[in-house]
Amino acid sequence: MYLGFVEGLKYVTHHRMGVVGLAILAFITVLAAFPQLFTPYTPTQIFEQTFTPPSPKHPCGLDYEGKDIWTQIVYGARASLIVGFLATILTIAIGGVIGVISGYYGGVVDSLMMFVSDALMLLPSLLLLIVFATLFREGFIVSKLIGAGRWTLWDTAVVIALISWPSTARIIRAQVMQLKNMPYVDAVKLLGASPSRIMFKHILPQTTPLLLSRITVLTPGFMVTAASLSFLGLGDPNTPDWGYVMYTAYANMLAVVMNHNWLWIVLPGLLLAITVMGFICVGEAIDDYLNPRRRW
Amino acid sequence: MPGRGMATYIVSKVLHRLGTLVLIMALIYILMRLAPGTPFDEYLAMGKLTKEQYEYLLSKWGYKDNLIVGLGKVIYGMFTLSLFKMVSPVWNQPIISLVSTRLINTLGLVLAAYVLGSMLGVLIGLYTARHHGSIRESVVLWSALMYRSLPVFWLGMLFLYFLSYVGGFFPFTASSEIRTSNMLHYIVDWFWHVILPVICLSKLAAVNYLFTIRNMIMDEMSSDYVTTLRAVGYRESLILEKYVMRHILPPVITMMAIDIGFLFGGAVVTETVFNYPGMGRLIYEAIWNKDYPVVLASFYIIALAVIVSVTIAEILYAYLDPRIRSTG
Repeated sequence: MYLGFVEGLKYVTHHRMGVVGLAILAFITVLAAFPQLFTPYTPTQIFEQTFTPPSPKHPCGLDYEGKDIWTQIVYGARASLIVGFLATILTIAIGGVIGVISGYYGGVVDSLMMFVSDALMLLPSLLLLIVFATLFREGFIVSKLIGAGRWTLWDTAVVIALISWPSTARIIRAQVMQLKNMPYVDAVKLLGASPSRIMFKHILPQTTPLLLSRITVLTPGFMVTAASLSFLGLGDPNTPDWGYVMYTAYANMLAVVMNHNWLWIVLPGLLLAITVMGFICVGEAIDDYLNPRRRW
Repeated sequence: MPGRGMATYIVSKVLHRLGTLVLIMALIYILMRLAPGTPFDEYLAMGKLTKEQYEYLLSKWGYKDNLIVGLGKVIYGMFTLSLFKMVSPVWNQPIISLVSTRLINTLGLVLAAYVLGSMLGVLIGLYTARHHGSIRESVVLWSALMYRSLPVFWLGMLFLYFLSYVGGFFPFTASSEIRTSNMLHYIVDWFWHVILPVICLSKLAAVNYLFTIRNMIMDEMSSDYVTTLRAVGYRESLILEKYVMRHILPPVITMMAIDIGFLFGGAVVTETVFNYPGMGRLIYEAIWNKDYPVVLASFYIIALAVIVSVTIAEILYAYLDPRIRSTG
C-alpha cells in the first residue's frame, strides 16, 4: 500500500501534466496557508474611501465598503480550498460507506440505495443547493450547531456532500461487487469475520486508489459549485470565497467599468480557474498511473 | 427474441423513472415545507395584512396543509398536470403563463449549448486522439483544458466586461427586445443576443468529457480488433471514425444525457449573469419568495426534461448494445 503510494507519487512527478498540476496546487496552498505574506491588510479592515481605482497601495482598489479587494482575493483562497476539500472528504465518506454497504449486501438494500441515488443524480446539484441555501437562510445543520445564525461556508460543504454522494457511491459499489467474490474475502469469511469487518477492514482499503483519484475530480467541481452559490448572492459574507468577491464585482459592475478596475473581475476567477486546472492535471496523471494501458 | 426483450426493458425503465420522478418531487416538497417562512410574512410584518387575513391566505394557498395531504396533492397534480394550472401567490398569475415564454428561452439556451458543447467535445476528442503525441495535440489539449477550467459565471462576466461594456460588440442584456416583422432580422438579432450565454453554458456540456472521450479512444486503439484492422490494412482515420467511434458513442451519449441536468443548473448562473429571462431566474426568485407552486412546477418541468432525455438515451443504448438489456 505504502510502496504503491510512493510509486504513484513518483509517476505523477514525472508526468508532464502532473508536474504542472502539482506546481499550481503548491502555489495555491501557500496562498491559502500564508495569506499574510501577500498582503499587509486583513479582509475585514475598512478604509475611508470606497470604489477607488487600482493604486500602488491597493493593487485592485477598494470595494463598496472600503475593503481592500486584493486582500479579499488572497484570503478567498483559504475559504475556497476549505469548502472544496471539506465537501470532498464528506462526499467520499458518505459515498464510500453507502457504496460498500450496497455493493456488499446487494438485494433490497442495494436497490433502495440505488433508487435514491438515481433521483439525486438526475437533479441538477446546483439547483438543489440553491433550494437548501435559500430556504435555510437562517442556517442549516452546522450553523445551527455553532449558532452562527445564518448560512455559512460549513453548511455549503455539508449540503454539497449530502447531494453529491451518488456518483462516488456508484463507483465504489461497482468495485466492491467485483472484490466481494475474490478468494481472500471467502478466506476471511471462513475465519469468522463479521460483515462490517470484511467491508471496512478488507474491502474498503482496496478501493483507496480509486478514492484518491476521486478527490482530484470532486474537489475542483465542488469549489466551482460553492463559488457559483456565492456568486448568486447566497454565500457567506463573513468568510468571502472567490465566488463572493466575484459577486460583489458583478453587483457593482458599473463602478468596475467606470474605474477600469478589471482586475476585480479577472483575478478571483483566474485563480479559481488555475486551481481547477491544477486539480485536473494531477487527476489526469493519477488516472494514467492507475490505468497501465494508457502509460505509453 | 430481441423485440420482446426490448419491450420489457422499456416498460421496466419507464416505471423506474416514474418512481424517481415522484421521489424527486416529494423531496422538494418536503424540503420546502420544512423550511420556515411564507411569502406573506413580509406583508404581515409591514402591517398590510391583519392576522385573520394572513391566516386566510395561508390556508387558501395550501401553506397550512398537512404534510401528507399536501404531498398527495402534489403527486396528484403531477399526473393530472394540474400542477401547471395552479396560481402563484406572488405573481397572482397561473403558472402556465409564467412558465411558457421562459421555458422556450431556457430550452433554446440549453439545447444550443448542449449541441455546441457535445460537438466540440467529440470533435476535439477525435482530433487529439488522432494526433496523439504531436505538438498540435498538446496545444489543443491545453487550450481545451483551460476552457474547461473556467467557471461559467466568470466567463460570462469576462464576456460582459470586455466584449459588451468595454468593447461594445455585444448587447448587455441577453434577451432580444426587437419585434420586427422581418423574420431574418429577428433571427439574426436573437442570435446576436444569445451567442454569449450559449458559449458560456456550452463549456458545461461535453467539453467536460473531452478527456474521457480521448482516453476511451486511446484505450480502444490498443485493443485487439484495432490491431487486426490495422493488419488488414485499413487507414487509421477509417478505423477511428467507423469502428472505434461506434464502440465509444453509446456510453458517451448516455453520460451526456444524464448531465443535461447540470446544464439546467448552469443555466441559473448564466441567466443571472446575462439577465436572461429564463426558468433559472424564475426558479431562483420563486425559491427566494417561497413561492411553492412555481418552484414545484419548474422543478417538475426540469426533472421531466432530464428524465425523458435520460430514458431515451438509455433505451437507445440498450438498442445499440444488447448486452445491457439483460442486466438492466
